[in-house]
Amino acid sequence: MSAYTYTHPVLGEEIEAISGHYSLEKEASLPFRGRQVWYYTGYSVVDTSCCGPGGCGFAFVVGYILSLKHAQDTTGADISDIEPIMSDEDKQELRKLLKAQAHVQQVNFWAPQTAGFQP
Amino acid sequence: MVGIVSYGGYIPKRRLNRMSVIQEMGWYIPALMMVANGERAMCNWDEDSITMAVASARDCMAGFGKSSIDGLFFATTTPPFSDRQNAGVVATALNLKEDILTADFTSSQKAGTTALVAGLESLKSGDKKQVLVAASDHRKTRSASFYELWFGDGSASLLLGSDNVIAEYKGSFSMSLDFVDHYRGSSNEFDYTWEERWIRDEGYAKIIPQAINGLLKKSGLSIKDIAKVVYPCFISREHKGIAKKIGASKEQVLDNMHEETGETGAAHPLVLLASALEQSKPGDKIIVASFGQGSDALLFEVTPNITKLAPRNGIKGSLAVRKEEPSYAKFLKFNELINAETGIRAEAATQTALTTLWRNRKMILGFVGGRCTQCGTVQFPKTNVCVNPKCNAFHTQEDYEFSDKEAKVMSFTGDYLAVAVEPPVIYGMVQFEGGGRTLLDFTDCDLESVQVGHTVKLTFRKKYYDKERGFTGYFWKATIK
Amino acid sequence: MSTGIKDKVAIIGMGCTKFGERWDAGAEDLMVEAFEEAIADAGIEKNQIQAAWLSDCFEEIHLGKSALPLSMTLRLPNIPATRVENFCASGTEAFRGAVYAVASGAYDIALALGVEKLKDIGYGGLPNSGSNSGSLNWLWMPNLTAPGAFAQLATAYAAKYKYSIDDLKRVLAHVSVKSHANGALNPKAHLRTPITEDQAISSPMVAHPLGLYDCCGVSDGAAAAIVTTPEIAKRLGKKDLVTVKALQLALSNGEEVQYNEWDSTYFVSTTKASAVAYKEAGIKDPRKELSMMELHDCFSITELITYEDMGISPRGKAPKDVLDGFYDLRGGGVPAQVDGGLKCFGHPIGASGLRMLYEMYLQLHGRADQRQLKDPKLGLTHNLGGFPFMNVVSIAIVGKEGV
Repeated sequence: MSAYTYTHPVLGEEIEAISGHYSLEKEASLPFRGRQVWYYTGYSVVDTSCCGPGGCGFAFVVGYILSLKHAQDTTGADISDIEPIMSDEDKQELRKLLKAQAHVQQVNFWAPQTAGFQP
Repeated sequence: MVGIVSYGGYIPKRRLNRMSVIQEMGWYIPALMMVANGERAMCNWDEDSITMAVASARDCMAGFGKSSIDGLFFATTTPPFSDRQNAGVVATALNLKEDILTADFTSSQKAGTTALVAGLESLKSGDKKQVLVAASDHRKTRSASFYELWFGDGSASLLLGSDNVIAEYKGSFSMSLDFVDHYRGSSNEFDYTWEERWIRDEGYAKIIPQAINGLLKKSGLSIKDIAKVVYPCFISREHKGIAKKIGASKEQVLDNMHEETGETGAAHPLVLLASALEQSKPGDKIIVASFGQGSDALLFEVTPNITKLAPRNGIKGSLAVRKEEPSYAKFLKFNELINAETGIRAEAATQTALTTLWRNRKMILGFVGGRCTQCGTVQFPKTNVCVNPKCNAFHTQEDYEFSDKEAKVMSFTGDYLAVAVEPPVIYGMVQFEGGGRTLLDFTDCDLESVQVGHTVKLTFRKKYYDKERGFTGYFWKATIK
Repeated sequence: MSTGIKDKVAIIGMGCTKFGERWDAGAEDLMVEAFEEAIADAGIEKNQIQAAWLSDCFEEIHLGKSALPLSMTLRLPNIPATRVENFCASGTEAFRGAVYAVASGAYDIALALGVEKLKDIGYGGLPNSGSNSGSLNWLWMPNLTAPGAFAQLATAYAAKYKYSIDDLKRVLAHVSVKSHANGALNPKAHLRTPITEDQAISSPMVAHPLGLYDCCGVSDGAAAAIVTTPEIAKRLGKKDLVTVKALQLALSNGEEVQYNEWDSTYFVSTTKASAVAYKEAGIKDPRKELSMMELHDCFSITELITYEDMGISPRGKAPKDVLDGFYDLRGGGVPAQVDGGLKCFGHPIGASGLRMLYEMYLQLHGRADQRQLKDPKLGLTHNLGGFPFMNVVSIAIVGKEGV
């Protein structure tokens, strides 16, 4: 599994969509399979979707940390080298762990476009 | 010879771990701990006495035709309708013939056995060929009451007839006594119960032995001749005490199922009887007795046909289909014991057009679709014009029953936005073996457990409840096989 | 033998309100706002309008039934007025009524006006009609919401073409990023915030695998069009006419949901309607001939699949075009959602079809400011109301006269 560059988001910033908004509130690392996994927790409010209200607390898992916040991009955002979680088994296990630990209803994962993705 | 031809059982998949009640309410009524062992069966939010009766009746009828059934008796103390025959809903869901006798037996915990006696007696007269007796109960109890822990939800059905009898009916003995251990006024949600010690000593300990001894005497038998005796009594210690009183050994008496399901109300004697039939061999004599303003005791003798009865879920199988529910709050919500927010969106109109329901009763309650007699295309719903684009014939469809057909999941989703008792709402498109496809709600499954290609079965469930008018709407849902 | 609508009718005036949560305005106010712009643009007197069509979808929560609210609000001179509703295609239906009226020769000048005021119900989203959704439907149809229903398309599409959900989500994120970039350039858009692909990817699911940025919302708004024949338009002194090239509608007949063939990876109605529309407009190769599109991007996956149903991307290959930027504003292909689309411009149901035409009209007249494309000739609009398996699809193609 190769390394990817990940640009960290701004914590606490309300990201607005037409159907609602979300915010990443906290970042943390979690020991997993002998390594450290970087993840965010936040909430979403779906209050203007065409089809009804919703929302949840969620976790967003970036991946295994290879090199944490080793640089900044031109906008001043932190950059890390990470390895995304790709195995379904690992995802399932992390879902279980994070739902229990972080009291979130949803756990999602960062994923890059597959290298050489050729539709 | 008349007797039982087949049996079926249904225990809701969810089982509430009684310790979850202690965890939340033990601080309030510490004594609950005494009865907090094991788990109680709990209805999903879309289940009630009618849906459970349909489930156990379908289990009971598996492998049997419907054409000989000319009576359906439904026993429950929790009928969703006080005036609209509940048995009629069950019969329509089962797509039984329309020229049959249907009746509700209710208002007493012995309603199940009374329906059984009535069914068997009507067969003896020769007037009926087969009578289906379905019993179920879904009793509402106050939070943190002993009854919450004692009671459980469940159903059993028995097909009665005179051919291929697996347990011959040998007679019954009834006691009718206005002993009011508890009552539920017609405008009240909950039971009002008298002192437990009195119920135990003057009620259970006297009335059940009276009925069983009366039956033995009438039949010229002694308790030693009986292979299995079943009767309800949620006070486990007293359940054993009754055995002693009638002189039955531990081996002869079936446990009250407190640890597996809790007491299933008017259905419980039939649940226990079905359970006894599962464990019996030809020649066994079985006594079943009930308790509720008296008692009915019935005697059966198992015949060699029991070995030929095709395997079915029964009680044992239903118990095996199990999911532990750790959340007491969910139990409270499902039973509307807490006033949880639903939002303005849930205030939508919920009126049922009774004319529409009447015209479409086979479709809605019986899941009957159509088969085009011209091109053979099977479709749901049955309509005036065939859906096959190469056919499109008018008025060519005959009834086609889908309810026993399996289907494959074509696509599905978990919807967090739809108004729901237990989000996410899971629904999807299913393709039936033998043709036909439709959209269905899914029930009794987690989003994680559903996949495209999975096999689903149909189950009859509550679709909606119209609070304002007190009307329950039913339809069929998919459940992962 | 029918000859189609091509070049029989010209649009001489259009108006569109700012879309959004218009707490300041009722449906009547929105109608007036759109109408004033359209009539000023047309340069005619109100009394010259001879017939009118009104579209709205959830009339029960704002205007009420009939076209009386249109006639009363605009004080129309006792002319024929008709209210139409066909889910999300309602706006295009109103346009269709006005265009056909003029094309038939029955009237010289007609008005189409679409409006929706959704923020008067006390909760977000469209109203929940419950048993008012049809007395038989209510008894058995699952309580579907659109995200749930459209999410099923995404999983089926990914499975059929063997794309991982992660890869598809990146493609869908690109679809959204593009619309947000366009919407940011539009002062009338409901939402004007550009987003990054990672912001879209990080958003939580609404209905797996569709996230927050894959779903549209609801808005208040109105849009209007005034149409006449090209001859009258010229007599009125109009130049560089924008004419109607095609107007098509296709509705599901139950095959998708009740017959045994459809595989949930495309829209039957869109596929049929686009073929007929191209024929009507005389378009042979839409990929080359169309200058721009406004598709019904209620969900990113709808937009992606519609690229294929429109015959622009080959089946299963829309993701390639998306990643190549073919549908981006300056991508050199066929820019889609030029005005921001439903996901940014907004979605007042009854007005949406006319809103899309408004953008095509502005572009064809070179009045789209920062969004202006270079010399557009033909623009296509598309609405899809209902669900993937049961829907109403409308397609309109407009363009410069003589193209």
